[in-house]
Formats: sequence, C-alpha cells, structure tokens
Amino acid sequence: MEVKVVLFAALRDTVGQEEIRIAWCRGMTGQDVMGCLKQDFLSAGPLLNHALIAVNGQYAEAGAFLMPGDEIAFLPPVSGG
Amino acid sequence: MYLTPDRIDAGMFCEASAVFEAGAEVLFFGVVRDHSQGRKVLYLDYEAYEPMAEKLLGEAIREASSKWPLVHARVLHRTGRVGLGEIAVALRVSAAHRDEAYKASRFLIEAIKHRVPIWKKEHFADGTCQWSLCPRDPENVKIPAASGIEAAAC
Repeated sequence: MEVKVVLFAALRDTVGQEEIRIAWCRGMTGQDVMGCLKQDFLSAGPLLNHALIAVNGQYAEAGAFLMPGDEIAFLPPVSGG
Repeated sequence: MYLTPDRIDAGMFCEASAVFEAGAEVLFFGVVRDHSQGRKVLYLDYEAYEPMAEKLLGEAIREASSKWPLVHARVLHRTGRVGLGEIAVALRVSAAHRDEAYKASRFLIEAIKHRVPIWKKEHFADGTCQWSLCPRDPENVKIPAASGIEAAAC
C-alpha cells in the first residue's frame, strides 16, 4: 500500500522527479510525507517549507491523514495569469 | 475546460454571444511582456496541476457567479510555451451592468493568480530561466536564494 507524491515546477526541478511512491502506514499525514522528502532531498527543504499541500486535488492541512492510494501534491507558490 | 495548450485567439474568444441579457462585457487578456524585474524575457512556459486547476477555475467562476449576478463568465488559461505578446490568460465576464462585470473580472484574475495551481517559468535573453513567484503572503517573498528558484542556465 502506497501514497503517490506529485511535485510541480521549481519543486519538481529541484527534486528531479515528478512522481514518487512512498509506503503508506497507518496514521500517516502530509507532514510525515514532507519530512520524508526533506530527508531524502535536502535541497528541496526551503521550497517544501513554502509549499501548500493538496490531497486528491484539494488543498489540505499538513496534518491531514492519508489513506492508501491517496495522491498528495506539494505546490510551490503559484504564478498563473 | 479552462486550460489549453493551444494559442488563444482574441477574436475567437470575443465572438459575439447570441444572448442579449448583458449590457456590460469585460474582457481581460494577460499577455506575455518582454521584461520582468529589469530583465529581458524571451518567452514563458506555463505548467499546471491540471485536474486541480480545472476544478479550481470552475469553482472560481461559480463563486463569482454567486457573488454577482453574471450572465456569463469564461476563463481560458494557456499551458506550455507562450511567446511575447501572446495571450496567457483570457477572461470574459458578462453582466447586466458594468459594476458587477468589472468586479467579477477582477475577482477571477486574482483567484487565478493566488489559488489556482499554475506556474510560469520565465526564460531570459541571457540564457537563464526562473520559476516566477506570486506571493500568497509577504513571507513567501523571503524564500532563500538556495531554494532552487533562482535563475539558472536553461
């Protein structure tokens, strides 16, 4: 059982991957996934600190619990328009 | 669909409506300019978290329609490479009167700039490029230089 992590723009470029699979565990939150990413990709730390989180396409709090199969996105500050 | 990889044609976007309830039509085109913060820009690349961006753009239109009595609202935002002078985002808001059309148009472009997951990368004449930031709050302008968002060779 896994969660899918998706990354965009500067964050994707810094990490060098647009999609990462992480093993799910009971009680896992967005904050936990962010911690894993910070550990594995040290240079992404500052951008992750400013990223918003979306779970299954909806903005979510960092403390939101994740379920197996969820897609969690880390969104750098947006710049559309 | 509110996102398109295809060039936005101003004339087609403005084609007359067969509905005559509106006395005010506000059109807004965000176009690619040739400079950013004193640097010469060659073109932009737009990227979106497409399913979420489509959903949020639809929600923004519904929210605008609930705040003001609109006859029609349409948004189209580019993805991919957009050249100088090309339209990156187009809005068309129709209402019975100008006040609500202007207000809803302003509301929509601000929603796009601040909450819809779309990013632009500026490509500069000196061969570097940089992801642009639209700060949601003043803290976001303080992202340190080593964050991966500084201009780098492209």
